[in-house]
Amino acid sequence: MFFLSEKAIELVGEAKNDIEIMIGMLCAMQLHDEALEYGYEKYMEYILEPSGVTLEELRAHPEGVKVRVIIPPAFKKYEKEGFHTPSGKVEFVSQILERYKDSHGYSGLPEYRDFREVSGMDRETYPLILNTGSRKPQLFHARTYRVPWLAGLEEATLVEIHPEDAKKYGIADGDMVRVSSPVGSICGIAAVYLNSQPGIVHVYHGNAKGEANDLIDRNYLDPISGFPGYKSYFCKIEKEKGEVKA
Amino acid sequence: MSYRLKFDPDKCVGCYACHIACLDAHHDVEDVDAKSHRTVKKVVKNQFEKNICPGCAHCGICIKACPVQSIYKDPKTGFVLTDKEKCIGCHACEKVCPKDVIHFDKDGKMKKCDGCIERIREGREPACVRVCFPGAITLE
Repeated sequence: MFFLSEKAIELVGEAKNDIEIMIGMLCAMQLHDEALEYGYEKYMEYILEPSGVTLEELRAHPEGVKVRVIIPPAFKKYEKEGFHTPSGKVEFVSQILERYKDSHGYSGLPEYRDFREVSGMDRETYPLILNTGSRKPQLFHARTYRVPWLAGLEEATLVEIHPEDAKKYGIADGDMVRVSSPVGSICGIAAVYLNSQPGIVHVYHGNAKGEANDLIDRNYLDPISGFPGYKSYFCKIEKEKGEVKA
Repeated sequence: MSYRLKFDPDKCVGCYACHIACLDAHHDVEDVDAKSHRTVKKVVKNQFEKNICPGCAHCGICIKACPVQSIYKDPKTGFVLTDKEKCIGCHACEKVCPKDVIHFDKDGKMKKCDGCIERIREGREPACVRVCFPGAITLE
């Protein structure tokens, strides 16, 4: 069965769905993509093509349409078409990255560079590594913090540290602590946690009362992919004194 | 028939599904401040730490501690139940509970697991038993 999921509410402010954001960026950057460059409706038609069903049919039948997939998904496409690399092969040395050797200093062959050394961070002030986004069964990003039964399972914001670090910084389980990075600071409840690694501070992200991701510099990105370093920024931790504003 | 709710801490993975099932079985969704009848405990074994979710085993130790006989054993199921009207909120039961699973409502009255007695009467399993996928909670 195929269903078309239309927007449930009128858009708030400048909100757009993910695909429209991607299309907007594609156009702004003047990039080409056979699926996206012709707009949202055309993209939907492209996605539906293998099913043989059209957008109009789906709109006419909100209860869903039963279809037989006319173009089944292809497997082992690389045997006929090769891979989407300049050589068409699996590249151990990336020819794309080699092109930017002089302009960006990229290397075709993967090189290990320890971010703790190349970041130029003052490690005396920020000796610990902040890891946000570790999974918890009851939480899913910011959204489940708004479900009281789930949010009520654990006190928030928990700052999980190894017993060795707890001893080193004079922190006991349940103490109010402040986690600071070069770009921000949040307050939380210390949880001494044996399974963590000494030197690492885990704070789950997404809590409006103490958003751990706000502690990560917006320009702290992987130099090639641009992905933010949520798992490994720099921080310090100290016991919170006086009135606590969590 | 006398039931016991068994809990195996080795099998528990701390997923909290029993907490949510318990809340769902005993409360309306609007009841945002509701507390589940189960608890969360940290355990350490072989240098590995995990959270587990013990609940009332219906051992009945609290019955003897209650000075006003507000806690009693249901003759049909053997579940340990509480009479809210009689409870004076003295917390004597909380002090003797070996599982730390007795809590108090906003009026100071004792609250505990009722073994999902309503579900049992309907021929169903307790909510926590139903959702516990590793089989840590069992009705015996």
